[in-house]
Amino acid sequence: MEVSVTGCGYSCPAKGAVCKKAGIETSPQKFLRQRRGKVYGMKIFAVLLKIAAVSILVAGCTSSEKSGGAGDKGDIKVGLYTSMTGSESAWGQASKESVDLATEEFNESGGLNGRKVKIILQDTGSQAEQAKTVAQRLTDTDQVVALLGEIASGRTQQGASVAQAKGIPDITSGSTRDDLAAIGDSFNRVCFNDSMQGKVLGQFVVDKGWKKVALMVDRKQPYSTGLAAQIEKIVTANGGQIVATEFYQGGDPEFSAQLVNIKQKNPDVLIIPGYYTEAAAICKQARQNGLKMQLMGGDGWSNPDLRKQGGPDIVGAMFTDHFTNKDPDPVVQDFVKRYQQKYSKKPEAIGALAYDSAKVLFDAMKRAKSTDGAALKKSVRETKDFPGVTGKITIDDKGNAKKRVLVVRVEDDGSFSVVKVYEPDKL
Amino acid sequence: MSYYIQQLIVGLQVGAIYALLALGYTMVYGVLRLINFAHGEVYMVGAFFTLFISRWIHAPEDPALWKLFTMLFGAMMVCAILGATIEQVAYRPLRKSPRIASLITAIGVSLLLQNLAILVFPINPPPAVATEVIPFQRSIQVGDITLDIGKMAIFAVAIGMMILLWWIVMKTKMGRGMRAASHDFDAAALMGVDVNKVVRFTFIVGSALAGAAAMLNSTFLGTPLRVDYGLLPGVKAFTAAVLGGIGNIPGAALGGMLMGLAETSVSAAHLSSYRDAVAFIILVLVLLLRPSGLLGSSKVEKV
Amino acid sequence: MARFWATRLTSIAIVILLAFVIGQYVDATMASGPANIVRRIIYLCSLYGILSVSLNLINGITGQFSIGHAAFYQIGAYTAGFLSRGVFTHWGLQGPLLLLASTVTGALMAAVGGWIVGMPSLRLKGDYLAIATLGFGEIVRIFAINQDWLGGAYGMSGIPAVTKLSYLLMLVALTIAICRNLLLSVHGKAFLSIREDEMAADAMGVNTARYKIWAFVIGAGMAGAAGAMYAHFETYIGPTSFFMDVSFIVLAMVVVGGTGSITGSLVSAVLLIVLQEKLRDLGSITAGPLYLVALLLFIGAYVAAGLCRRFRPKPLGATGIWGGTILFALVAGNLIGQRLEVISTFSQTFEAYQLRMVIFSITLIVIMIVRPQGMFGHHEFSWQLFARKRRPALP
Repeated sequence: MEVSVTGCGYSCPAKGAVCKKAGIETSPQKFLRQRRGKVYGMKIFAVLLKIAAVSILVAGCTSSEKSGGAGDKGDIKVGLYTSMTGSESAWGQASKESVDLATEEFNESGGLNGRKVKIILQDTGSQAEQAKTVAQRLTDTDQVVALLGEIASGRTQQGASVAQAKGIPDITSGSTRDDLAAIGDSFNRVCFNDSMQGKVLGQFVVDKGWKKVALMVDRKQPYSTGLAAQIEKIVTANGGQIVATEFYQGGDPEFSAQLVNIKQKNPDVLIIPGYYTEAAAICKQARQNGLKMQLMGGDGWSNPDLRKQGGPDIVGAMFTDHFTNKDPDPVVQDFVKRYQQKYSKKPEAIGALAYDSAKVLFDAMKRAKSTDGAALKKSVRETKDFPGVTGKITIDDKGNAKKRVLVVRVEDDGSFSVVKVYEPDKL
Repeated sequence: MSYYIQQLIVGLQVGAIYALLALGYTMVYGVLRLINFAHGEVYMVGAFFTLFISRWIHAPEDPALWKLFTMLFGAMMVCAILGATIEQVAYRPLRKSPRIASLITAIGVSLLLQNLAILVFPINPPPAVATEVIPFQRSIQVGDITLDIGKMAIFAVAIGMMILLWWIVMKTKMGRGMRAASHDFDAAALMGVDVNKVVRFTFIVGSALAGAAAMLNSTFLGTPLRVDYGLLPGVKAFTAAVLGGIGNIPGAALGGMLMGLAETSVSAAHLSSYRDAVAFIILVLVLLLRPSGLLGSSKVEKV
Repeated sequence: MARFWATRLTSIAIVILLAFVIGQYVDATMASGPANIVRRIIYLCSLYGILSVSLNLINGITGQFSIGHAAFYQIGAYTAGFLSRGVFTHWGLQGPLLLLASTVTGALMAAVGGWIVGMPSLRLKGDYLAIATLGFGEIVRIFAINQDWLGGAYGMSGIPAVTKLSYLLMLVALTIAICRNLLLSVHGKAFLSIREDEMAADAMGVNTARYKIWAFVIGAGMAGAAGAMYAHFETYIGPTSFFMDVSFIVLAMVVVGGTGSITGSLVSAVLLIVLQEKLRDLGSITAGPLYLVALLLFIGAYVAAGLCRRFRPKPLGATGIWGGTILFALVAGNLIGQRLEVISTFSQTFEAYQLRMVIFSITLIVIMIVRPQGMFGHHEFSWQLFARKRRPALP
């Protein structure tokens, strides 16, 4: 087998000169020497040494601890896989903080017969492929008893499938896609699914007598497209009309082109099923461009800073929500207080949902009195009227959460006032 | 009519941001023949520092015009320093290596900056500068047309920056050095141009422009800051630079403006979901017709 | 000639058979328990191995600067996902047959994509070509997001899980065999000649246009096959899995391994994937030692560079000095850092997930600075490295 040497990749004017661009000496003697392979054997060896040095560096910093087996003693391990890095890192960090808070509370209150829960966190980097890798790592290497996690439906699909194969439950905090329920009896969620929330939004529009509806959809988010599809279904079924559907992408700074288009159609209501990060900016730019219709959104809007981010323009906008900070419910007030104490900022919806997902799991553990996968799965599915921060949660036989849906209005002081309450059974 | 004028204003403003970013790409490319993939991340860091500066000087509570300028120059300074550091650490050691190696370090730096941003910057919940400096956001009504002060400010400052850049490149000694280096790097070095200084200066100017773009964009348009704030604008600005003919400074400005206008007209034509794709489709078409971009000069290859 | 082909084909067959056996063994022994993650990493390594070897054909061997490789990967995955759910299962295809059908159609579709991208490469050069390929990648991804029959923003789930590790390893072996034998053939020399000097190659009668397109078609086809395997292993595919950073990582693998070296592409794919996964095991790190190690490394790098320059060390070697620097920084930084933890800034801890990608990107930069031509340069692994008597490679 020959060692192929093909020069430095740049045309050298003359052999024997130093090829400047590539910085490789190409004198005939050296050229020949390199061809014999001996020098290269050494060089490759040197490179391997360097790599070894780098890995020593990595290993030197490591102090990883491993203790396998999910016995009946010691801490109960629960896996949390979420997007700590990548494009959705903000949501992942909010989830992590809330799950930590819930765990702390559970452990303070005595845990499960004195056994404490330990959360093992793995980062999915906002990518589906990594979600599967880390879910496997959590279930196989760390032997967790249950998985919590992922916000985005694609990643939950992967993580929950791993949980399904392993026979342990997975509770997701923010994956709204309807067909995730097909994964099996491991899959559970504490958030609304698309069809439920879409129904509420559509119904609300119909109830209000608004006929001409415009949609502004985040093309990148399955949450946004899924919700928009459901709203469209309900509105058109009830004699309404979707006069305009415009798209944007999360992270866009500028929405005026689409908004000016919507303005031409003069709809009664503009629904923006997306996250508050863009929704606030869209509302603001809508008013700047002279759009005067009612603005509406989904639970992605829920954030205490919504009024601050949207400015005066967002006052009067309505969206579906799980809870309001103003809710007199002691569970909510306690959560808001503790969260603020620990992280010195206000909790938002994604955090609250993650908190509930952890709480539902711990509650199921208590009822099952064991950490066995099958018992835990069954127990999670038996959750009924659990007093969560985001409302009373009942998990149905498909793993979907049944809970009330609030339609709230943004007030001038930044609070959200309840406009209408939809009970799950009446939908 | 007012509809078209309004869309035109949007297009020009979007284009101005792309143009400012594209200038950074094109200058670095002109001198070093290197695609500086970390440029978008410099832009992101600039946006975060705009936020910090606005908080330090209490711009939200007590707005004043001079504070806006402080934010602008502050962000430009931070970005300039960052750009020079990146050049020193990641590109200079590889000056004599195959260019693809420095491309990989560029990708590495961009990954590094994104992940350091997660570590260092407050990203949860995503902060937004625009929401904190609301008083600067007003719109005036001229007939049917709603004119947004912020958008016009973006356009005006961007044009001002470009004129300044033109002056630097054409009239100063350093600018002459830049032109010489981009014409022939080795010959310029032989002719006594301090190429290291020129390269550093190029990075400083290019990154400062990115900082200006970041400040304008984050202050006047209200998108919250995230770690991938600079990713897509960066790629699109680079596309704009190639569109105009990479290495060519007026080309970058033109490409940026065209890109902004094209994107806006695509959105206006109810194709907003294909907006990003159309930018690239236009690019490919232009390149097929004029392989060296709109204003780029096609070099005759010598043997 | 006949003998040449007989030995060549036999050796390829043996290697593919070996890949199959290894895959079966891994699947049988590591399917559950803690070893499962090792299996997953092997799977990821083989997947990215195919991607980087195939990009190497375009980028390293033919010298066409392509940074949109994720597009071909995506075309393959989406073709497999769509056809397997919509068509092949209706035909009653199952198991390996279904996978074969998906892989072949995926590869064909991606090859068509490669042909479409290859066409502009006749007119475009260098960075213009790069941005055109990047643009193509984005166009494909955005197209997929906007088509509801392709699953829109969510993607497709419920793709039959028929990929087994052994099939994937067989594909790796096949990819390497194709690339390597192509290189040894007269066509391979034509590819190389385009990289070295296109104009000279043209003048010597090489049909550069045809070879450039072929490089794209073959490289894209391999990536498409990898995509199909991916779809049938993951059972879910979505547009987020094919973002630009996939292209960038694959490009980094090619360059880190050494442009043009198949061995290099493969080794660096394994290295970068294992590094990414191993870094997850990193426990929490206290800030004090971390800062100090970084600082000492920084100072040490300057000192070591100075030493290297001054002494041109014979007995110790540059590697020794650099290794010593790193070791010193590690030991001293950790020892002193622990004393510093009384100060609160130094006692805060970083978790693995926070530092993982930071360390990864720094490693990437450092590898490139230390060895700009990549780990293997243009060279291939050769058994001669282990031979006692070295025969000169050239007559």
